Amino acid sequence: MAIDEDAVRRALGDLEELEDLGGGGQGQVWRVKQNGQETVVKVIPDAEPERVRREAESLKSISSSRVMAFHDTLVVDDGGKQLPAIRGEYIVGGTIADALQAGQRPTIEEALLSARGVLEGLTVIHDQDLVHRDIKPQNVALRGGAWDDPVVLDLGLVRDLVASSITRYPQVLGTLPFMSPEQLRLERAVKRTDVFAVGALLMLLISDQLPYVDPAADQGLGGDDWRRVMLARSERPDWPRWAQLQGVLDQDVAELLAELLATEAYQRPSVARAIELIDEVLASRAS
Amino acid sequence: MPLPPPAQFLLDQPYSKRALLPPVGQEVYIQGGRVPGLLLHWGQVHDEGVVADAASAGRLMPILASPGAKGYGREKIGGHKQAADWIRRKAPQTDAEWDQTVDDAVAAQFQLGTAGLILPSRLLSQPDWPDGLQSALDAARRATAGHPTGDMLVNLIIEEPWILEARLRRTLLNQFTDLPEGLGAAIHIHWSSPERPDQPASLEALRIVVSALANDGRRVLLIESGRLGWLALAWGAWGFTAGLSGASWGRNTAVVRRARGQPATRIARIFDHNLLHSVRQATQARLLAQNGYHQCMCDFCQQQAGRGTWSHDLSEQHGLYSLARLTEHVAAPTLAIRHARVKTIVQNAIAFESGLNFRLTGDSRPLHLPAWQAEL
Repeated sequence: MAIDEDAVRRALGDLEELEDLGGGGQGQVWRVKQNGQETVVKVIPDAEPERVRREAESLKSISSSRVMAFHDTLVVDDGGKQLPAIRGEYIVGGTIADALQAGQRPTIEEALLSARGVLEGLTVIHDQDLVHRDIKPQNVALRGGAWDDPVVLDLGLVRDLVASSITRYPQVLGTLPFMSPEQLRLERAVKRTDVFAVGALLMLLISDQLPYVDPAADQGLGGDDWRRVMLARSERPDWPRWAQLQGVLDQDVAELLAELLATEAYQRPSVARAIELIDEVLASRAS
Repeated sequence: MPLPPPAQFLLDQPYSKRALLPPVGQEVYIQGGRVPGLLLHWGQVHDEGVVADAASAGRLMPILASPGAKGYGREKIGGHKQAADWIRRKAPQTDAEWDQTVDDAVAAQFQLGTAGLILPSRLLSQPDWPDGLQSALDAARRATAGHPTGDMLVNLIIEEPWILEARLRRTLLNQFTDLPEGLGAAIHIHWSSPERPDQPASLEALRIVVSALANDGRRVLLIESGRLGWLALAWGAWGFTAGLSGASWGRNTAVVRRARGQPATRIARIFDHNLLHSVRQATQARLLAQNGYHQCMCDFCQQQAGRGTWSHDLSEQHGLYSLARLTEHVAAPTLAIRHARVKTIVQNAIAFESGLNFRLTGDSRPLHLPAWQAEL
């Protein structure tokens, strides 16, 4: 549902600039310049007020250069419909998705630094007993367009680990190509679910492939059919298609990805350990 | 006092015959061995007994206390003395009830001055997948928020499907490894039959669980696991317990024969460290004459030899003594060495059995050894 630009203007008052940055299932995002300061406003149509409140609460408790800073919440009156919105830090440089769409590709070292930075952001998120659950190129900004300076965006699907009543499963939450096997099975996400997504992101940056996606075979598949296809692949030992990736991936990177993308969450490293593993790969490459 | 390094053996506090335990520690000490610890059980012993045994543990160290809350809502234990506060209440359901249970059990352990803390849980059956597990672990997560978790373990009292069934096991491991780093697991498995733990599928499943938690940097204490717990030291378990109670797998005189109209007869058996198995008294007498047989010289065996009638108590004390010495033999700073030492002892037991000049029969046969070897 497109949101009327005038509705956003009315909600914000006097503006110097307003730019529609687009959006997706999670909401529509605007860049706002007001009193000389640039911010982003994410308007979330059809959102449960509880989810918006949760995202705001989650963002409020987090302070890290690796996670988008939160300012406040507001309400946009769009033709009589009250739409909740979140205002936060505007990060100049676009997202990883924007960079990939523009044809940019990082070097292996840059990709590793991107993954490392995302993991640093996740450390702060996980320290609050929260799980992001939707790490993907659209949800990682590159400050100044630099691959080594990523910022985690959009905590819309964040889950409070101790509030077991909030998320009733089974339900599909997240973005299919970046989902871990436990998400594909509609099971509860854990911190290492985010580690899998970082592994998927790293795999994409390095090889242009995703763990359980076969672009040719998956054409036309949608929703639950696609989830079931990916789930079936996740239960096969030949997926992710490591054999096909041989020659594309260096041995050290292949080993790292195998750890981050382990089928079972308990077999994956913690975020702290994942950072150590990346540092080891970076150090050996630098020497 | 912080928890000691891996390869720990603790004696399970039983409801009756509690006085049999400190002499085991004393004997290990006299023989120059590493003295086992003591696991107190609020689930099996009244509050007064737990406090008294903590004070009279003698050389047994470290001392831990299991909140043991597999059965809540019990006013008294043993029919006459009061259970601990949290056991007298009904099983926790709400967050507030869980938090109160955890707070009470932790406070009681602080009062005892235990070496570490075991956070309470409740018995988890198959229908508790996944929410029952989540409630218990959420309570542990709340309890540990902002506190160092190095000497803390979460009590997991589970029926065997949580180990044997892949879906439940996966959930258990995924959720447990999601807890704060360093938080350990005190796992108490309720097996459906005495034979089950030694079956290949059970051993493989338990190895997966113990290895996964140990690889994640977590202490694993296998409660009432007996000789199986000793094997698990090779998979990365921090420690295990065994004792005198009927539920404890370290018990070596548990075989009872009943004939119609006749009183039950306990079969005289003894744990033989050469075979890593309990054998009948008559069988042991034949083993003594075998080449390569290492005779136990503990005081309990000496006393047994000097008696006219078989003492089940001495046999059980010897069994616990043997497990303490076996644990001491595999203790080492690295898991690789501990694994290698357990493997060597198991291989030696297999070789010893195959070198016998007579065939072991019936329940004296160490049928578990090939399955053990396959998991090493």
